[in-house]
Amino acid sequence: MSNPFAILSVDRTATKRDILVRVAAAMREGRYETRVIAEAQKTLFDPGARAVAEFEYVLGDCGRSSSLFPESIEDGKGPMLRRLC
Amino acid sequence: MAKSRKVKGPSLEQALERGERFFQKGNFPLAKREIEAALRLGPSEAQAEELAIKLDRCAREVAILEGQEAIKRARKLEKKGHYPEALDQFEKALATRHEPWIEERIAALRTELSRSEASALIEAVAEDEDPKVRLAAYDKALGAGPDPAIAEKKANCLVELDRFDEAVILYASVPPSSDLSRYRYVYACAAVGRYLDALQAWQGMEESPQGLVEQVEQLLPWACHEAEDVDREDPYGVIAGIAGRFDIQDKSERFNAWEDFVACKRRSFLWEQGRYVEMPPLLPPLAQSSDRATLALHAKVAFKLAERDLEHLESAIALWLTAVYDDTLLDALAVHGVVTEKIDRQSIRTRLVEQLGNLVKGYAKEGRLSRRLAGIWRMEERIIRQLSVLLVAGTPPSCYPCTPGFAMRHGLGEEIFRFLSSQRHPPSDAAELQELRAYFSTAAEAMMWMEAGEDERALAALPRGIEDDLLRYCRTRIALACAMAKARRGEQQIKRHFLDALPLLQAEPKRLQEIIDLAYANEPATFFEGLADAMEALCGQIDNPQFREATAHVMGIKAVGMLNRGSSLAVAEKLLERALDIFPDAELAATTLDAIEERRLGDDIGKAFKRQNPLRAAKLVLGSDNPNNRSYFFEIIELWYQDILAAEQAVQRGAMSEIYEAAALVDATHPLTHRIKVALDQLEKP
Repeated sequence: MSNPFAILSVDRTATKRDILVRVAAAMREGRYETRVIAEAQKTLFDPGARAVAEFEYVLGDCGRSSSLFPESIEDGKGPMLRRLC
Repeated sequence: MAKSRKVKGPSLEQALERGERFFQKGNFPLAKREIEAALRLGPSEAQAEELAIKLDRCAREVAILEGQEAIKRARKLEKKGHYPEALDQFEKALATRHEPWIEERIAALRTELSRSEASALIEAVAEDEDPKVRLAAYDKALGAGPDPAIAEKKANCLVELDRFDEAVILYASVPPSSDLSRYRYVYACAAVGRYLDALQAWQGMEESPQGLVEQVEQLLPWACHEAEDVDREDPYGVIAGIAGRFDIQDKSERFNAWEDFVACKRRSFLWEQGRYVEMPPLLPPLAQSSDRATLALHAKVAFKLAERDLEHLESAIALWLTAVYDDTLLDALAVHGVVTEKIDRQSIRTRLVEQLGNLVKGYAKEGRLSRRLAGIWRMEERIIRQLSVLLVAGTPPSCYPCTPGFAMRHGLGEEIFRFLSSQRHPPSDAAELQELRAYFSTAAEAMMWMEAGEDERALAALPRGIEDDLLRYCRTRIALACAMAKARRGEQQIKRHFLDALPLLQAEPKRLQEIIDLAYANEPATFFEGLADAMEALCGQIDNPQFREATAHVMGIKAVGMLNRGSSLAVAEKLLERALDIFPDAELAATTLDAIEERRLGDDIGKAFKRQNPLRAAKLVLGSDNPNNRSYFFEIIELWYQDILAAEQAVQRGAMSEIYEAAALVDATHPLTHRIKVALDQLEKP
C-alpha cells in the first residue's frame, strides 16, 4: 500500500469533500496513474483502511499541535540582541 | 665677439666629418651634437637634407637610450622602496617606449602607492571613535583594489552605523573571519529579519561566548516563524543545529519549549522527505515513558527503518507490536472526527500486525531472516497477543501490554513481572500465566534465546545461584524447546532433553500434543528414531492414552525402518513387543510384528528344504498364514518331483513317498499332490 495522504496531498483531517476535490486535482496534475489515485481515494473512504494508513504514514505530532508556536511574537518588533562594539 | 667665435669654432667640414664619424660608430648623442652644429654652419641644401635625416635617426636612438637609462634607474629605485621616484622613471621610459610591461609596472606602483597611503590612513584612523571616519578610510582602501580583510572591517563599520542591509550584502561576499565579525553579522541579519541566516552564522562560532545561549533564545521564536514561510532546505535543521550546541543545564524552560517545537517540526520535515535515518536522534526519549505519542513516533520510525534495513527489524518488532496493542493509540485514530463510522479496533490491530508480518515474510523470502529473528518475531507476537487477552485484576502498569523485547530494552520487565505475579486469582490456564511471567522475569533473556532457537545460550543465560519455581519452570521449558527443536530436525540424541522437560510435560499435558503431532508427521523413518526412544522413555512417567498410542506408532515406524535397513529381526521384534506393551492396539506395531514372524517362518521353510526335510517344511507352511510360503513350498516340491522322476528306480519310490506325505499334509487336493500320488502308485506296482 502507498501513502494515500501523500498521493492526494491531504492531511489526516481531510473530509470526504476535501478528498474528492484533491482527487480531481490529482487527476489533472497527472503525477500519479489514475489507478493509484483511485486506490488512494478508496483507502481514505474506508474507515478501517484509512485508520491503518494513518497509523502507518502519518507521523503525528508527539502530543502537541505542531501548528502552534510555544509563544507568539509581536509584529514590527524584533529580537532584543545584545550589541557588541 | 661674433668674429672671434667664427674664427675659433669648427668649420662646416670639421663638423660634418665628426658628425659622420660618430654616426658611423653608433655614438648617436655625439653625432647628434655635431650634426646640429653643422646645421648651424650653413650647409648646402643637399647637405642640410641629408643631415636632417641623420639628425632624426640620432634623436630616436638617443630617446631609446634615455628610456633604457630611465628603466635602469626605476628598477633600482623600486628595489630600494622609493616608489614615487621609481614611478617617475617608469613614466619617463614609457614616453619613449610604449611597452605593456612598463604600463603594468606603472599600474602596480600606483596601486602600491595608493595602498600604502590607504594603510597609513587606516592606521591613522584605526582608533577613531567615529565609524564614519573609519568607513571613509576603508572605502578609500577598497578603491585601490579588493581586500577581504578591509571589506570585513568595512562591514563591521556598517553594522556600527546601523546600515545593516549593506553590511549583510558585504558579509555575503566576504564571510566573517572572527567570532566578533560573526556576531556583528548575526546582529545585522537579525536586524533585517534574516533570523535563520543569523543562526547559521552563529554555528560557525569557534567558541560559545558567555551569554550566547540567551542571545540564541532571543532569536528562536523569530527564526521559527521565519522557518514556517521560507522556501529553504531543512530550515528547522539550522535552528536545531545551533540549539543543540548548548548544554542542557544552560537552557531555560523557554529555550527547551522552542527546541522541542523545532524538533517536532524537523521530524515532520524529515518524515515527509523520507529521511528516516536522520530521525532517531530527534525522537524524545522513550525509557520509562508512558507517553503514547512518543511510543507511536518510535514505532513508526523503527518500522520505516526496518523496511530499508534488516538491522532495525528486531527493534521495530518490539516497538510496532507494543504500539499496535495500545488501545489508546488505536482509538486516537478516529479522534479528528472526520471518520464518523465506528472503527473496529481489533480489525485495525490485526491489519497493522499483518503489515509487520509481511515485512518479516519479505526478509524471510529473500533468505535474509536469521533463525534468531524469526524466533523473536514469533515470540513477541505470541506473547503480546496472549497478554492482550489475559483477564487481569488491578491496574496494569502504564506500558502494559508490551512485548518482552520492549520490556527488556526499556527496563520495564520487573514492573510487568510484579503485576503478573500479583494476580491472586489466576486465569483458568495458570500455566499460561506462568509462561507469561517467565518472559518478563530475570530469565527473560534466556527465554528469548530459547525462542530464537539458541538453546545452549538460553541455558547459559539463566540466572545462577537462584532456585525457585519460576526458574525451574524456565529450565524445563528451555529443555522442552531444545528437545522439540532437535526432534524437528530429526536428531537422534534427544531423550535426555525430553526427560529434563518431564516435570513440565507432567504439569502441562497440553504440551504433549506438540510431541504427539510430531509423531504423526510425514517424515522418513529415520526422522523418528530419536523421537521413538525419547517417547518410549517418557511413557514410563506419563500416563496419557494418546501419547501412549503415538509412542507405539512411532516405535513401529522405527522398527519398519530397521527392517528396511536389514537390521536384526530380533531387535526389531523386541522393539515392537515393547510398543505393543505400551499400547496393545497399535496397528503398525502389530502388523509389523506379524510380518516379522512370517518372514522368519519363510526363512525356516527354506532351511527345512535345505536340510532335505520336506515334512518339516510342510508343517511350517501349515502354521503360516502367508500364501507366499504355500506357493514357495509347492514350487520346491515340483522341482524335487521332477528330480525323482529322473533318478534311478531304486531310490524313486522312497523319495516319492516322502514328498507325497509332505504335499498331502499341506494340501491333499493340490494338483501336484495328485500327480505325485499317481506316480507313487505306478512305482508301487509290481
